[in-house]
Amino acid sequence: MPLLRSALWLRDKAIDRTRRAFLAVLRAGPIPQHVAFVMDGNRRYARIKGMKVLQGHVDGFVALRRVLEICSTLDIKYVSVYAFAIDNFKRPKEEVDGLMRLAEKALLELCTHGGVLAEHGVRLNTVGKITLFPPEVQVALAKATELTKDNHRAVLNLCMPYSSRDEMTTAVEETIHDALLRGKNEPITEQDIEDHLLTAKVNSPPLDILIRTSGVNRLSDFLLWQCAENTQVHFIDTFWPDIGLLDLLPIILDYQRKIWSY
Amino acid sequence: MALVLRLALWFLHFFYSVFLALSSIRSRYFRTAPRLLTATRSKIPSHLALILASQESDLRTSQAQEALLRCTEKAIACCRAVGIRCLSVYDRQGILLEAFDANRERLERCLPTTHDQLSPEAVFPLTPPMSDDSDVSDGCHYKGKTYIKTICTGDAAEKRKKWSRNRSGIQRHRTHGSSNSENFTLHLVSRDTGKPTIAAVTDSLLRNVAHGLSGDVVPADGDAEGFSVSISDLQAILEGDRGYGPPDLMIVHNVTVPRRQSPPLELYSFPPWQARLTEIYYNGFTGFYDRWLRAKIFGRARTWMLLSELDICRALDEYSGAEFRLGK
Repeated sequence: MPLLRSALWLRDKAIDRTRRAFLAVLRAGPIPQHVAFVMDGNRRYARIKGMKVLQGHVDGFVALRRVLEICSTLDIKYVSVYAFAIDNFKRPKEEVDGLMRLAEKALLELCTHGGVLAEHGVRLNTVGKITLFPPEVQVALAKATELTKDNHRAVLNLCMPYSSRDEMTTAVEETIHDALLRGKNEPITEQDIEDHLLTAKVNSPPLDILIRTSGVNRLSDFLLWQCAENTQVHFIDTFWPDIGLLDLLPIILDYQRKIWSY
Repeated sequence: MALVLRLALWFLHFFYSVFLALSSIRSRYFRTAPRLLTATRSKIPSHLALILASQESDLRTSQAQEALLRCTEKAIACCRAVGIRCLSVYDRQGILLEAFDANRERLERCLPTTHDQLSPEAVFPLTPPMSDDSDVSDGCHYKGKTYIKTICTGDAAEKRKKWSRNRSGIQRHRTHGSSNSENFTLHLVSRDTGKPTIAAVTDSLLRNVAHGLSGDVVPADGDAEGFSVSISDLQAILEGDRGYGPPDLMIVHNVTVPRRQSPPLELYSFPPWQARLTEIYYNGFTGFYDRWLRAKIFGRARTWMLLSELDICRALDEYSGAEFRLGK
């Protein structure tokens, strides 16, 4: 048994060392500034493994931590994740309530001492119609944002509850209000609308890469405006709770190939 | 140490290039053949969009135009064979839109016609401002350009004619009237149909508010800053009869040889509002013949990769297997 434990320890060490080596090698080339993830597939993952749906979401949170660590090690400055869609409120009440409880717990875990955001100096922004959430979740979000406001190494945009059409519509409305307040006479441009998007308000740069897991080939109302131009879109078959460095490796390599081909 | 890492990265990219080349061969020669174009599928899209993509900065040549037109003709023929009633063809630079006038008859020949059917009715976008008609939409009023050209046949033409009947400045092309024709709608779309149109709509709404023309939308007390616009308002304008409806399936097809093997999917400024729930099919692999023979002889920018029936069959197979949960 000690022999087996030693072998397992050596194996884990070797895997960890290999992972760090790959990340160091990738960092020698161009790294994207802003990567977005659609964290899809928690429920199907749970069903395939014979787990409860909520356990799938818990494993999904573990995957989020893992991905944040990889992105932080790679020095990706901005990460946006589609954590909860406005349409997701249509799910069964039991699942939505479970997700709200998980969100409360996960937020504090991410941001408090020892959490991955604190460890890697990541600032948390919430991007979405927060007023749709129950008060407890709004308080947890506010607290998490406050706890990380002095972190400067990277930024995590937590899109929840979010809908790109809602974002674009609000941007249109605010552009009009702004123009009326300023008495603006020049025609409204694309840049005017872009400046009023939620991602612009948290100073996120243009989106370099968008990744959707679980084999679905749709954008599903996520960052539609932001990914329309110069964004590499990857639909990968892996379920979100299973995502790891091997899934991200070809994506980063593709990005580097694009930069070098200019 | 930095040199060692760069060398290691170079090797990593070398092995990745080999992997992509092998994947390309596998994709071309060893992949399971798709079902036939006219095979029965569990579902087919009612609206198919074809993005004719290129990494070249300027495609304004006659050869490019010819390649895009041939892809369009192929797509129309496949759609009609499958029973898809609406096809959008998108090219970022608007080459097809610019070539529309000169090639309208060529495109009309591909569309369904029967002996006593309405000939295809070309409907052109309005230029602002045209009239005080307020029957454009139920919500916010928009009277500007929508940067899209459409040809309809059958009942689709009747519906399109309804909104245009009261407008001035519309050019109509018809031979004789009848019904019972195959419905088909062809949209030609470019980058301008997307973000610039949203900007134009916003500008129009602003001017409506500023001049107090928006009726119900401006609150009774005249406070223009109380103006609000909802998703359904924008949807009515952007996707309504004058606009461009969302496609169910989008095929992204490289018409020129990409700079590198198997570049990832990009959307080339396709209208973002309409892409919300669109299923996307993309095959970035370029065959050996195109990449290493034709591209080397003719140059990458002049090696045209025309759309094939195989690509459309694969896209339809993937679409018929897709599951739509809509957030639930």
